[in-house]
Amino acid sequence: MENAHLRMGLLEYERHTEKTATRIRVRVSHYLGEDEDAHLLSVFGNDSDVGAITAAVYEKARFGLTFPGGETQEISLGEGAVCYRGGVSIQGRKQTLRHMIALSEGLRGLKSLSRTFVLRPEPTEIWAALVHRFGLPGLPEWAERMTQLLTERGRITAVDSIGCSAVVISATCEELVEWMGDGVSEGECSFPESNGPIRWSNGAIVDALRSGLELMQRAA
Amino acid sequence: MTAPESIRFRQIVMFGIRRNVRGAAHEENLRRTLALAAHGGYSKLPELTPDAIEPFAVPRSGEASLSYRGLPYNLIEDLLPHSTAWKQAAQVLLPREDMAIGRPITPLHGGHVGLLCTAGLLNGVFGQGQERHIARWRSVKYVTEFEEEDGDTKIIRRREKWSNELRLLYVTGKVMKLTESAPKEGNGNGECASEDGPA
Repeated sequence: MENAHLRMGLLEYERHTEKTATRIRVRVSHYLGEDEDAHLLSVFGNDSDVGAITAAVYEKARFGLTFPGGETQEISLGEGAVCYRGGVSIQGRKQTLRHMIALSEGLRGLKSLSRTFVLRPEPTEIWAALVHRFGLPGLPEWAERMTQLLTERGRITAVDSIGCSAVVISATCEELVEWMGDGVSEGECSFPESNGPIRWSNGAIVDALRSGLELMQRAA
Repeated sequence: MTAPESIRFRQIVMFGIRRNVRGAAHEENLRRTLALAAHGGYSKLPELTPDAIEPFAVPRSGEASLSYRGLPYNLIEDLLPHSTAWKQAAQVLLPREDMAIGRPITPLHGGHVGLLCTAGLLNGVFGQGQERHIARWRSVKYVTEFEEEDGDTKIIRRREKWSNELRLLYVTGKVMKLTESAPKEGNGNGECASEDGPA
């Protein structure tokens, strides 16, 4: 897609010691966060820059984030964040472009059991995330109904994001089980005709990210 | 410098004639620039009016060829979702569910079924009539914290163990959670005993 630079953010990290002052700027391809709490951060750049940002994430450092629209926000991934590193080879360039994704403790579900983050507000994706996370006895066909229920009760909230349209779902396992029970008894959620295993379509991350970008481009 | 795009991208464009400035002249130039920048000097600069200075006619140049040496963002945007970092993060962002489908070579024994159930490979719809239900197994980590006193020292120990729980949703709307512990009073959830004996 064209004009990718208009959809990307900018992350700045400054570190001052007695003798030296370091300032690192890297591009942000994807971000998900709430005010000062960052939950997902995807950055790319050269080896040293990405290495320094990775170290800073583990040190619980604060970063300056500039959104594509120009707004700025100071962010931190907090304690317990993990980083995944990878590389992208670009034709005609000697060195591989380094890529790093940092995930907060909150996004990995280790902090609060009642909050689930999803990259895009797709009913199937929302429902699959909840079912797999809480171990719910649910069916994929119930995605539309359960997402509608969550929306009606104001449990789906949009969060700050770059490169995706992320949302957070605030619902506990007990609440969801209760709503499912009510849905089944009232006939809104029906059982399949025959017994057997439940087949969930395992979505690919590439599709989720690409559709998010397409949505953003269409909105622009 | 007050234009919205200049503020957004923090960039300005300057036109001028390049001259070699060396030695004391360079130092003086630097001093003046710093003095001007201090205390918001740039913002106090008067706006340049057309009659302030004789206009400089930019001489015509040859064909300009522009080449971009920065990162190819459009290409990077397309390639990034295929990076190994996203593949690792996908396990958290888009959890997958394994399923065992097929006919075993020999009939499964109780032990085999138990292992498959606790591994979450036999989740599905079972039963008939009012007993028809959806079964879903999952592994749960339990952390037990206890304190020991050794003289004046208090030692806090945490013991972690993994257990399995089964959630059942019946066709009538009834919901049950079966765990290794005994059921609480007034709650349908808890330990489930089979027909042959205790679980």
